[in-house]
Amino acid sequence: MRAPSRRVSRRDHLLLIGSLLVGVAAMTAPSEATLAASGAIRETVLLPVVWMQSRAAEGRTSRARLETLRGERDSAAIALQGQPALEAENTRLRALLGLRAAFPVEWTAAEVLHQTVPVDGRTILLSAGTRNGISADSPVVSPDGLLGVVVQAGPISSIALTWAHPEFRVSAVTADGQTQGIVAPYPGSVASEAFLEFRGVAFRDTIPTGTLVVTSGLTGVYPRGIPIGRVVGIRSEQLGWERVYRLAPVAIPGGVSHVLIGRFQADSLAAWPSDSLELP
Amino acid sequence: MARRRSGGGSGPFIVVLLLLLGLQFYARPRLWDGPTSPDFLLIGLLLLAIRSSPGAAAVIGLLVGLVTDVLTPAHFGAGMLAHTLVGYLGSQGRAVVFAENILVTAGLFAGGLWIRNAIMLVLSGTNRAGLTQALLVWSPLQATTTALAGLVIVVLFRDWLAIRIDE
Repeated sequence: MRAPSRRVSRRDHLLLIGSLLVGVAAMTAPSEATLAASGAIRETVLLPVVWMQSRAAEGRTSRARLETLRGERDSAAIALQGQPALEAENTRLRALLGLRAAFPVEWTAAEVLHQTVPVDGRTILLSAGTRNGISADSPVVSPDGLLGVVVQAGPISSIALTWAHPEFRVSAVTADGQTQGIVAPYPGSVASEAFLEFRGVAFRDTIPTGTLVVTSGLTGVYPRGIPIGRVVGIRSEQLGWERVYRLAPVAIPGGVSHVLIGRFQADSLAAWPSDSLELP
Repeated sequence: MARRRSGGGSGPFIVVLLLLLGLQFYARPRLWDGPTSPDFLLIGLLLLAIRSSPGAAAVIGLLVGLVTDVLTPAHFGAGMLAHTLVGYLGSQGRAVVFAENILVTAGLFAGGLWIRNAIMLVLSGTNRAGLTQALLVWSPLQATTTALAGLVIVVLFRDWLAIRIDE
């Protein structure tokens, strides 16, 4: 191999220090600024590679994947057989109680474009963007359950923050609707080390192991009822007033290849004021 | 005996780098998209680093890190720092261990990937249990596949890369 001169010059030291300083500056910059910058670079300079990876993900087929998809489709078809009667019953009951119709959520399918770095899974690159109607704060779900939320959307791709990211939070409730809390990742966990925390549960409430925890629908980002995880035990008890439960997540970001991105219709957003303090 | 290969101008080298980009962003997602799949960007970085001065290798690492951070902005800047250090160390390491041996080359690819992963995980605030699992299970597996893929590239394109291999 061609061997360049290996004496480390002052210029080499300066270039190394300069590069490290740029890296440190990027790490300490506000996340809004870095997300905006990464979105701009992704949709301009890196557009060809994102496009290429999207096409590759679309064309990825195998017998095993086809059988999995067929199984999921059959399960969905069976589950949907009773839906018309259920919808009619739901509409009747809402009319009896004087409730308005539930806000509809539209779903867009997208491919997950996995990268080869170890923190892939804390954020994921998706092959759908604003051209598909995706915007920031759109919920991202897999066939198994909740994955995360879109934090930055460009024309043809978007970035989603998954539950494995330390900043992820979602308002949650047990499937029977009895116990509410906040779901957050266990601090410092990686995507492959799958577990979450169900925080803020009152000390008097006891949740049996195996209970399904779903999104509560509060705040208007996540529709109600999306599975998040199952209780696998108590993680801690805080001073006798709160219990923190361990959850086994139902959807693993590192292993998902297809997702659905939800979006509420524009008129339904008025139901959730972004911050009550801002109201007149 | 070491054989010196002829060729290795910038033209063929750029072709190899474009091939690595195609492998990273088209072949890998289509054929083997998992946590143990080889990192062709890192192979490209190390091939560039061992041809460059340490300072230039650090800047190339910074740019490769920027690409990874843009595509996975979980902890923006961690990839830039990790790849900068790997590029610099790759250039320096090749000078220290300059034997043109196939195992040394494989070790360079594997070691570079493991160090990159370790730096990124530490900078991302991964806890001890997660770090242990990632560095003892997933990273060695990915380092092995990356080393094998790198060796195939080096052997197939040794004339274009002007690589001398002990035989």
